[in-house]
Amino acid sequence: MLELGRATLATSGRAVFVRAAPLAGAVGIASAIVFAPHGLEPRDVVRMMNGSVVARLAMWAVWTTLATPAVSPAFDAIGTRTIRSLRPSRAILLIVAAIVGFAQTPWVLLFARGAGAAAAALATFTAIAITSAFASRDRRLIASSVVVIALGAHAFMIAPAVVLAFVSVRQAWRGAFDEHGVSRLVCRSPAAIALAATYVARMIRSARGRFQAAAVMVFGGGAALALTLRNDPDARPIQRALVVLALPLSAACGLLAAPALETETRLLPLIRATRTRRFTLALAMALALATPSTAFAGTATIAAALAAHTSPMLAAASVAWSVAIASVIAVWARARRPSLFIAGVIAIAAAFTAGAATC
Amino acid sequence: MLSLRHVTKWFGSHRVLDDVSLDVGEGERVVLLGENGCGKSTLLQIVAGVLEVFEGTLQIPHAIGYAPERPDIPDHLLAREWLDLVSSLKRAAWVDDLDVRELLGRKVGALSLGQRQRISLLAAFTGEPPLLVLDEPTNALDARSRDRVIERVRASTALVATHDRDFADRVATRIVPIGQRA
Repeated sequence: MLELGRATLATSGRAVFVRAAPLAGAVGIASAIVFAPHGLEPRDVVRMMNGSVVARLAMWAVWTTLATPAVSPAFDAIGTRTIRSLRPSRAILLIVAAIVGFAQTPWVLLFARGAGAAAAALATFTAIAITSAFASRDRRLIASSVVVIALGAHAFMIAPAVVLAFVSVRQAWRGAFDEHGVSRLVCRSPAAIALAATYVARMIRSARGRFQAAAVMVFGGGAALALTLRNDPDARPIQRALVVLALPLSAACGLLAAPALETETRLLPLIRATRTRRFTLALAMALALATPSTAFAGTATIAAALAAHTSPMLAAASVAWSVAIASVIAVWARARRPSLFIAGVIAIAAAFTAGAATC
Repeated sequence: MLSLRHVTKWFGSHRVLDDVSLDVGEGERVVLLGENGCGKSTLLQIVAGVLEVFEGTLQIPHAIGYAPERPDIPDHLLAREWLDLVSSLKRAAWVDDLDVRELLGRKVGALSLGQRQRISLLAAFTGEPPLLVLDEPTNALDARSRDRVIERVRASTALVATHDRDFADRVATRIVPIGQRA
């Protein structure tokens, strides 16, 4: 039994830690900005969630989107097939549930600091339930978790949350190796678009850790933008947005470049056999990096503009900015030596920040 | 159609191909036979443009249908997405010659080796290329798919590497032993 527990920690635990640690780091950086001395307090955020169903569901949706990719390897990491074949007892499922709970640490800390231990316990079991439900892709469990969240943080919700957490973990464990339907992303289209869609499919399906880290960085930048616009409403908002977002957008594109480049390398036999032009490859890389980064930048800037009571048209400038940054990083990524890539991304971020500041 | 002259290929200090010359005329189906490690796959990779650094000269048509020995399809793609990507790069629609309809909505990583091979071959056939370059095309195929591949290759100009002697006898207009001077 002890050996099985160790094996579970070495497989599921390690795989979750590898994804949850960067997530916790990125959320920590964003939190340091949002909860800075003159910024928000955790209790403000929790109070806002308790006061509005829409705000509660929205905040939980953001956390679930970020945490589910980190939690998923608990159920299907390399080695868990062998553990399954040993017919483990329910104790193994408890260990898996604890591993899933560990990945929720930043979210639980928010409730612990904002509303105390009871709220943190409820948030833990609810977060285990909803992230495991999404990992299992079981619609009834997802709907049940959403209902638990919508009903709010009442003491009597702890029992249903605990039950739902263990049912969801069990379902996710049992169905981890079933084949699930996947939305089609690559269609017959001009070569650059088809290649870009292939790279984006890789980012979303097989590099979720990087994808979520990129999202956290840009949304963290959006939160910083909202705070600076609120604190200094007379500032020129477009220039402020370009300055604040240059670094997170560059870092996000740098993170997403690796899976895109790996996919391009994997496709080399096809690319060479079809005599695909270099310009097409460069354009595909730029499109692949620009697609998620513009989506993140647009969403983050609209949210920041609404929070700071500024025009949402700010988003148009940030989208154009993210296209420019993605294009430069795409060119650098394809021409780079691996050892120089990060230095180049930092230089690009510095150049775009300085460029925006002197506008 | 295809002309190789005095091709030599080194991997480090190991010479894999030594002064190989080979012609494939239109309508010819040349099958390369040889032991493991004799350079068949290397030769096909040179013809397909995968290996660009070699000694000698090579004349090939612009478009080639290449199926590598191990289907190198990214695991994260659906079978249909791979075929659509190939269609996009070749600017030609793919045709379901190998009865892959039931595989299209599945991730490539979840397919068996034989199923991947069918998808890989279908990608090579896409766009009716003037020259097929196939590396061990019957690997892991069931009898029905194998017969269809034979039928398809016999209607094409092809350069094929295989260990499958029966396949070679059924499709080849010429068999070239490799490892000796071709």
